[in-house]
Amino acid sequence: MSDLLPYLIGGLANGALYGLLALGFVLVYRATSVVNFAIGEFLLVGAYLTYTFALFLPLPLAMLAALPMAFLFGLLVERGFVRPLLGRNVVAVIMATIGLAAALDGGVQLLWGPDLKYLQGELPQLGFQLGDTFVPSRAVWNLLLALPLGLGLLWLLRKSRYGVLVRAISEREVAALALGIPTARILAGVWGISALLATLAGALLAVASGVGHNLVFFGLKVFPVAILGGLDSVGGALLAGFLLGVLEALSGRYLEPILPGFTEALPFVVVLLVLMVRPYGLLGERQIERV
Amino acid sequence: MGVILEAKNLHLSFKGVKALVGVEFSVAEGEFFAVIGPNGAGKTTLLNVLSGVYEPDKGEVVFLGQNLRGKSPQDRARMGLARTFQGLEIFRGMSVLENVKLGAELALPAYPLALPRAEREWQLRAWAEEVLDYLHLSPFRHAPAGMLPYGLQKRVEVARALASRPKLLLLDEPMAGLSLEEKQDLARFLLDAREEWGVTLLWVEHDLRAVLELSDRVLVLSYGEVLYHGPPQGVRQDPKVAEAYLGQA
Repeated sequence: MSDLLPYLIGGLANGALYGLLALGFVLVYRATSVVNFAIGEFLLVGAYLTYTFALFLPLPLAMLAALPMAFLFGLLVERGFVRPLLGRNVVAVIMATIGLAAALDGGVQLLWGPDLKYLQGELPQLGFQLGDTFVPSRAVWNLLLALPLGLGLLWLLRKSRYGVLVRAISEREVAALALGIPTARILAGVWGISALLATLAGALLAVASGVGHNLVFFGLKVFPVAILGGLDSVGGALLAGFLLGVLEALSGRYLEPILPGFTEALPFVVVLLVLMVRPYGLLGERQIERV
Repeated sequence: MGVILEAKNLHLSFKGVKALVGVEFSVAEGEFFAVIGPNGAGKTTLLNVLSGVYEPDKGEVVFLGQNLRGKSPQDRARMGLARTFQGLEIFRGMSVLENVKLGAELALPAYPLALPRAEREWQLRAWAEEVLDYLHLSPFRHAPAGMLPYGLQKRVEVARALASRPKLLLLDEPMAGLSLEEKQDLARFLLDAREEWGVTLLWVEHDLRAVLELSDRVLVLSYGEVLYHGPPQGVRQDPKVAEAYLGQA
């Protein structure tokens, strides 16, 4: 048992980042029905923003400074790529996000170069000894930032006025328009928040593994996480993030010796299995079509 | 009584199909004004032009003395132009109260400095409750709107629109799919709302009997053209209306 605990902790630490990123992804999907294929690149851009700020700021401040920039970046994406396509088929917007992803991939390499970079500075050490297991600082930071942020966002969507407006728009945009709700502004905010979440996940990831193009592969896992949680469920995204993080860790411990490389495929296998039983994901809304 | 809404020479076509052809009419303040016509006559298109979903190719809509060209649906809603939809457009996942409160937000503009949050929340709730009570929806306030029977869902939509204290309420076939009793209830609510809150009503309706019974004046459209504009008594006598509406000469 005691040799399992480090794996669990590592899994939760990773899961927190999956959860954050999936939250950003699901938020946009929920509010605008747009599948943002560039979410991994949001994370990438966020990590590079943090890296740049960290060149002349202490790391905690750099992470903080990157957030408003990320929000602005989200607004820009919405203004430049999403809003012009408003009212078109939603597939058009989705295709645009694929194009955006490619452009951002290239743009980031042009700006910052192709080689792996490491963040300057460190976050304060928060690691501690738990029985005979050491909880690494990285895990503490991930959980400390992701959990309150995720739960806070859930609360915001459920209870706050902004949340009610987002839900109103996501459910019936025409009706929201007819009630005078400033839909464009509110949806832009959703993109901003999504980019902000991705940036935080990117920064935390970069602390552990550096900043480079490989971060995009982490971003890819947001799709199984979001689908597992239920594409339209914000709470589900958070939950599924942790779940997949832990499952990956367990697979690394027990399955990897027998099936080398299986851990890479695991999220997708889990998604397939869960979808067979619950086609709308763990916490997704069951779609009932009434004709 | 002053004129609240004026449509001047409205033209709109979609890829060559003429939806509105020189439509002109005016609605007086406090009036119960009906728009009728056979299927595809352009009734819903007209509502969409009035509420800002479409801009007309030509002509203008004047509301409260202001030209509405270039004004978004949100702008128009804030000016006091509310509407309901032909297909239900309520927020099904929210409670009845939340639906009505979203409407009420328009009636109580947010002045973040002047009105503390709690105070505003209290006023919103109070006003929403008043509207719910008025439309006999209070017992369902916490029910998810999408779970209610169809007739009540329609009433929720009307309540949400009325909660915004509109000066003019556009109703797109509010009676469709209702039982006779529900129709009578709704008619009473609408007439009461006009009495109590001074709202002017413009409704598109298929139920000819209800229209002729309740409306002050009627506009008859056919293929986007105005066939008749006047008191309901004249509708049945008008030969052009008889031809278009009943499909015979």
